[in-house]
Amino acid sequence: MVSDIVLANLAWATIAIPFITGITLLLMSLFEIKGDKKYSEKFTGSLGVAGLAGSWIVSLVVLVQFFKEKVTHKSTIGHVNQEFDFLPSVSGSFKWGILLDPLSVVFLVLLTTIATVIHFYASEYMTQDPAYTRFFGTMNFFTGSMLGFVLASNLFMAFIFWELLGFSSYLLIGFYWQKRSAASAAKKAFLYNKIGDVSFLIGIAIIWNKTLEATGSATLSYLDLAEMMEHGDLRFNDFIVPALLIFGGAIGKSAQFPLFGWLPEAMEGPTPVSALLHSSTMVKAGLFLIARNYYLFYVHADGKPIINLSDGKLSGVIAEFGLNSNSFNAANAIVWIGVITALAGGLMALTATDIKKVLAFSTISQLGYIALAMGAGGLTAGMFHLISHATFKSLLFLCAGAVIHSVHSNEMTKMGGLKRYMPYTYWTMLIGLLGLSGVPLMNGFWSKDAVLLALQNNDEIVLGEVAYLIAVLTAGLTAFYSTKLFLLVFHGEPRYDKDHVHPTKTGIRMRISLVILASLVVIESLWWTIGTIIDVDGSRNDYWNFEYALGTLFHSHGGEFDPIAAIFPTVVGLIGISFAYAVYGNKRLDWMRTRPLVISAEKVITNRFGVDQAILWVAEGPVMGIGDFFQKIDVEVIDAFIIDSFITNGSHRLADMSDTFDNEWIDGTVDKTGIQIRQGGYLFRRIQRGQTSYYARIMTGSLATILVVFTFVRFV
Amino acid sequence: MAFSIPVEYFLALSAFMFCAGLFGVLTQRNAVRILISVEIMLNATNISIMAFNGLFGVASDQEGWVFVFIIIGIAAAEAAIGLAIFLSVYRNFGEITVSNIFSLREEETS
Repeated sequence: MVSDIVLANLAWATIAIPFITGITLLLMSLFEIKGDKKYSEKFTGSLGVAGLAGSWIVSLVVLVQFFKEKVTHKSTIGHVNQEFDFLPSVSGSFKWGILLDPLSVVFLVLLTTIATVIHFYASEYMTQDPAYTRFFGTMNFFTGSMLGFVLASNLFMAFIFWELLGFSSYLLIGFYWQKRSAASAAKKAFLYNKIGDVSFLIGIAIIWNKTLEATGSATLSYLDLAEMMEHGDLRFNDFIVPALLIFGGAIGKSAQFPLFGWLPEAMEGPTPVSALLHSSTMVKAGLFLIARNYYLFYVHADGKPIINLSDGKLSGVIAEFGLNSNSFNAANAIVWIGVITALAGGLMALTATDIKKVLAFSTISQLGYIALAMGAGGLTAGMFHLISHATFKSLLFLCAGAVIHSVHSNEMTKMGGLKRYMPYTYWTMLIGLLGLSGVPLMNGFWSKDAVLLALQNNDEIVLGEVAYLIAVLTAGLTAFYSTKLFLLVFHGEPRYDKDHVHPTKTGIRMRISLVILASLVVIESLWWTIGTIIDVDGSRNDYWNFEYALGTLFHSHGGEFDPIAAIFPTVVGLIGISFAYAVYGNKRLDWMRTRPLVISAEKVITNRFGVDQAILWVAEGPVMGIGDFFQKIDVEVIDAFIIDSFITNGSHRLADMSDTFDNEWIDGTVDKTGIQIRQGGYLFRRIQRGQTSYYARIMTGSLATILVVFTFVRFV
Repeated sequence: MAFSIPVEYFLALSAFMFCAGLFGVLTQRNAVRILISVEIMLNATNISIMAFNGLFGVASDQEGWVFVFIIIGIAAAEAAIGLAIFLSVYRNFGEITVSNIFSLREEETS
């Protein structure tokens, strides 16, 4: 038996370990810069990997113990909620704490596993980098922030770690800050994220206010909010605005339309950073935020919030969803933003030639997928796709890193024919791309199917059929660009500069990481395939069915795989693959390039549909106008009037006045006192002239005075 | 005594002589004059003692005389010593104007 407190403390340890190693490494890198020395890469690298590995081991313990203690078979799902006051106040305190429920525990393990593998990979990938120590310090710090965000028990703590995440991602994207493009990419990412952060913060403030109004004691704890929703203290319909604002935070962090511009730029960071950023941290943080606050977006038909409360009975598949029946609601917005993001990301991935940018646009597209699943009420489907995407996308990025390491170029037009030099990378990337394209029986197939099914099942979405068709089309696009990437990199004629570039084999540690992640993809595929196809107890509702298990754990629905509904998207995906093979496999590269329609479409897509331009235009006009206006005010009013005439002259005069006062009054008083005393001295020294007659006179006068006084006193 | 002068007259004379002597002491600069003034003051004292003797004398009317004789004796001795000092001063300084004799005193600065 492990008590709740021990579990919570273990969870604290998973956050603390990477933070401690991260900060230690950052301090060491500071010493390196100040002391002009270098710690051995072996030491710093192992420390960095050890930080994550320690966190990973502890998180596994948490996972096992949590499921042992809190998830008893077919009865209840418990949770661990440890909170204490951080900033106590009368109207409700800001809390600091840990919430362990299936959602956070599953995400925790996913995150630590993938991050550990990526760190291990990076320990070889980053060798010979002058800032090796700083890299691992920042990476550990970054992962620690994400862990804190995932395990946070309330919106306040989540926001703090959310901001730490934004800050450390800024450091990582701008890792090669000497490069101008990297510096500007970091700045761009930070600013785009900041827009979302502001929205998130306003959302938190509104929730705080609403709970204060409703109950007289404000709270931001997830469990409290969900309980209030359940008991009717808070009305679901009141929460459309904060739900949308919190989704605004997710738009920034998870690179949804229209704030997706920063993600491709973020490729300026080292490849392990991209892998970490795209798989399980950062961009997933926004989606995790939606999942975490799902009670704001959806309620069950019976009014129960979608979160595991301690007494949440496992009541089988919950298929009925009572959507908020207002004409405009948060869910619709999420679905449509997700659909637009998915399509735009897919189209942009088609035209990109930089291997990392293809993967980045693909991530945008897949994030849109997850968002639309969550918007359509498929919390399970969204998390399902999130898990599979995290696995294969981290693998794909690491493979791309290996390729780049080998050819020293990001451009796919300068690769080709690499199959024979790097067989490990070849096969692992094949596995990852199969998952991404949603080839039947791969992990991506099952999760993508769940996403599409969630969209199909929800009748409340405005133009739901159109959204479904676009999503399926995106699946085809995904398959197309995955195949294109694969063929351009590994097959065909070598297009790199043969005199200078000699492709090398992938290093041993990198190979191990690739194999681990590839086997994770394979394990997921096998597990999900077998679990879905084979009925253990006949009802298809057993825990081997991963999607069903997830749905049960998240108190949502899941596990209703429909083979007939899966046919259409699968066929579209296969068409995408064959089409890409027909175009790129048979060296008909130029056939596509010469169609005028294709050329103009490519131009539009390469410019990212002008979204970045529009943002720039929207931001530039008013912002620069406001800036100019304030500059004018600054120069003409503040500088000229207030500073020059008022403050300068005023203080000048004041200085003069105090100078006068000093000279005439303070000094003058002192001087005059001295002079007066001297004068008094001159006056009195005359008495003591040494002439006896004077003394005698004074004595006589004094005596006479005394006599007179006494005489009169006697008689009066 | 059938005829007697009231005691106030003696006292008034004594007071006048004392004041005159005091004035002399305070204003005169010649040492001899100061000495003379002192003698006048002493004699003023003698007069007042004698007047009070007549007024309050109990047994022989002569108790006050003792004081007078002593004072006269002292005055004589004082005059003798004083004149001797003046002589000595005159020899050293060439004058006996007291305000000019200040060799034991520092120079006046202002």
